[in-house]
Amino acid sequence: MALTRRGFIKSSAATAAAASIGVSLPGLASAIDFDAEKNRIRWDKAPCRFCGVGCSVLVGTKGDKVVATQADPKSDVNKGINCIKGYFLSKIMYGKDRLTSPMLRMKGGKFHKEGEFTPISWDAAFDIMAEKWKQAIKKKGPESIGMFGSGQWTIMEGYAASKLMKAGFRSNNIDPNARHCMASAVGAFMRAFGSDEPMGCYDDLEHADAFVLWGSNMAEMHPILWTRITDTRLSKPGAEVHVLSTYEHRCFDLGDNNMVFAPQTDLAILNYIANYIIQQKAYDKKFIEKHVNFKETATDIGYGLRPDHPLEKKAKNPGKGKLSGISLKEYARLVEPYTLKYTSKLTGVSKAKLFRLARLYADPKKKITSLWTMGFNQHTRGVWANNSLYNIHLLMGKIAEPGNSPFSLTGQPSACGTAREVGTFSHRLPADLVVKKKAHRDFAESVWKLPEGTIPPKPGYHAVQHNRMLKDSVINAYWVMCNNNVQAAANMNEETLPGYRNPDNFIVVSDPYPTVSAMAADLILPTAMWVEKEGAYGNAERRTQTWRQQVSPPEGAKSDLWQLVEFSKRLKVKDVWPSELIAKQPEVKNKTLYDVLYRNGSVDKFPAQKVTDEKGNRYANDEMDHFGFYLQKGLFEEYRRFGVEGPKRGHDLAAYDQLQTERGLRWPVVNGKETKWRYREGFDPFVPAGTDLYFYGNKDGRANIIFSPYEAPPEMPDSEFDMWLCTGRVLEHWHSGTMTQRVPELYKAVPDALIYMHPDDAKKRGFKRGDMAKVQSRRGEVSALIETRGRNKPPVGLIFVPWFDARRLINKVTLDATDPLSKQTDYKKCAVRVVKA
Amino acid sequence: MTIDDESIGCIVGAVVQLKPDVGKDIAQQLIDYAGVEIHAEDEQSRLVLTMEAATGKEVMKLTEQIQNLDGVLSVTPVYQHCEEGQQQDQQGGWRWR
Repeated sequence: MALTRRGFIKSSAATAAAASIGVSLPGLASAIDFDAEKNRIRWDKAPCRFCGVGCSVLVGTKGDKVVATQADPKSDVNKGINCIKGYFLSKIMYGKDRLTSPMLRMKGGKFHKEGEFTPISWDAAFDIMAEKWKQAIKKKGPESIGMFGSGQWTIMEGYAASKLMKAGFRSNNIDPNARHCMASAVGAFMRAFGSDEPMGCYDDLEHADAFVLWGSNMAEMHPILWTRITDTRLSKPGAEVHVLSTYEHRCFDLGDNNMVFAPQTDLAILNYIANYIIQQKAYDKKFIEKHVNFKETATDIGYGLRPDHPLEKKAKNPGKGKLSGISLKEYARLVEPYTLKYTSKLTGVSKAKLFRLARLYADPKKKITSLWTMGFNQHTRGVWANNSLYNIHLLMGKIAEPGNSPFSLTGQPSACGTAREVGTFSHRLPADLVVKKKAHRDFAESVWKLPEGTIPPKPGYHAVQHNRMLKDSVINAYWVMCNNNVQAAANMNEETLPGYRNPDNFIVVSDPYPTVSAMAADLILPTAMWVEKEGAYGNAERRTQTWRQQVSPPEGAKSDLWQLVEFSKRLKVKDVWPSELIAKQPEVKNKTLYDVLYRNGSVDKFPAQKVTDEKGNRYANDEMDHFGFYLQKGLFEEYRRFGVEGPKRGHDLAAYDQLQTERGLRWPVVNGKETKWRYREGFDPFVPAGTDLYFYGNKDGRANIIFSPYEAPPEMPDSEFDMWLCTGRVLEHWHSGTMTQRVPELYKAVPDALIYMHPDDAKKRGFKRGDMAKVQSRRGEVSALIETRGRNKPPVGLIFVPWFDARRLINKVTLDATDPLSKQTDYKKCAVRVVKA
Repeated sequence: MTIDDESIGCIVGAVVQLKPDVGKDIAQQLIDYAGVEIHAEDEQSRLVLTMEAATGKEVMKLTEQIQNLDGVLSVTPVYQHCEEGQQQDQQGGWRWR
């Protein structure tokens, strides 16, 4: 029977949905093949643009436009299902206000800090940028150059940017927005295991008997992983879910043991569990003897505020992370004060619930996967919180095997792949190398074919310092790419905006849309996004996924990669390097940074070619056309050498060509084979035979249990500011809403940020649901509507306000206190009051 | 009219997870919505559904309505095809000045 086109599409939709639950619909043709032939839609894989889960979607293109998306049935991550954000993924590129021309603030025909945004050509845009960059370097040296990057950059973009900054401009002042989300996780991984990123993977979600959520709202933030947990909970006998949070959210619906604790007291709960395990002698003695060292960390370390802040002056060991070796006995003595009685009183959680949680961890028969994201990471003691959780898993030996998994989730699609693995942080280089170690710099310089001493040894300014240094006129030429930091950074009124609008500074923002950050800039560069370019992302389980360019960007918009590499043509080595360095390789003197960094015989190794898939479909590659070689592949293959040949073992990525045909692979990838569980013999090829388990990131192959105490947060409610404020995301919007706020359906579902408040608190202050109110802190205020019945239910004394809404900028209110070790901001707690608007 | 000129709008394939034992009533409520068709049900109380509407906005509204029905645990989209013809209306975000 002949089907109409509508019929074809409908049968495709039904077949795909049925296949995702293992049901076949007889009589309907295989959707994708049928579609490709009859409907002339070209289908190809790409990782989702949004969160860190890294779902694979099939992208359906027709007439150079993405018209359909389907959850990828071949993906091990999402197994043929999507969340509601993936649902409208095809639309994020088609907002009405896409930028298509560079825009410079101008008055009287030239740049003026207070001028109006005026369209200019790319040539003119790079001219003024090059002028400002050269001027800054000449006047104050490379440290006056800064760049704020992204965990949403493709891997190649992050790598090209890091190289441009650290080797080209010779400034380590590059940091990604991942500093706001993952830095504490990284810090703890390095301290405990000497190597970043989780030992486990998403397969743990089916292997575990119990799940513990530490502050994470997975039901809204990682819905696909939550679906997998739901399936395990509903189908495995005895499976249980424990949820800890500072307010009630959607995960509580499935939770068997729900706990709302007072902000910051998670530190005490973690130590209570360790204390319980030791008191009960439940710990795995053999495991500890063979695989673990005990340490304690310096305490009273301040809050990462400016050094003249009274709290920093008061701290005994501001910023100190020193570890000292201790014994199990000493560790036991340190956690001893964290009794059930003390912990229950401090946290506000009942003894019965805390006891049930501790007993779960102490049960040697239960396989436990612990999950966390921003609750632990955006915490002035974030590194401590992460490490205290590893302590529990290490005491019990519940780690690095199927189902036993302390699992740090991520928020961005390539927080792991780009920010962490490429090392776009101010102190890092690719594959866990750091700028302060000479051997690491030497290795990077040899891969990059650059003279010894090119990379500066001193770590640059981290994200929060960027804004402070802009305000203080220390950084003067600044490029923001692929993020919306004016909206995202804490304490916007006192630090961010004064920095961006400082007349000494020239600020460039590259974005597809006119974000708050773009509007605060001096020059805006229009950017190609997602499948408008070829790229690769790395997700939370170490999976690297590539995609091909599916459609053309709007005319005038260029990828971040194009922008970085094209701009590098505008500066010569002699403009930016000192003569002593040039003397070591005199032939580079008159070359451009483009010649030295990207036409170095390795990045430009792969000539231009046709990009095709296994079915023979053709794809564009705008960067290859422009530069004349396969830029993405060349960058990736050069970068891959850091993992394969570098001084830190176990970071081997798959070859670019293999990744083009796979649904991603989890590193280390050796001989084309991925690793599901790191450090475990039989899974991880780097574990020496006969050792069973070997934490090879540390020299002695052992992991560190590190004691840290409960310390109070920098600001707590008092008589003047009497409530806690917690910020975060909601399901329908992602981060600052730059993309999702442009999808009308998502905007309609959750148009405005609300103040989620307990009904008793509302009553006490004379508010009804829907009233306009002001949230005030010591730093600023913001107005929004009161919601007393929403999906988020805060306890008395705490409000929750999401941060996606550009018209209600909650970061005017938040405090820019950071974890002094990871430098990550604590967006989860500060003191506010709520008054009538 | 050629086949490509036909107006498609938005067509979505999704899986609806029901609470066990509420099947029949819910199924009836679902097919009462215009544009909703049930294609299959499995033994774990999951329905295979298509939704059709003129715009993405309407499909989203349908999804919300289904999500809010008593007895529905979740709606999981799998496949989405959208050809609305003109550039979407942007409502959120900043207005370009």
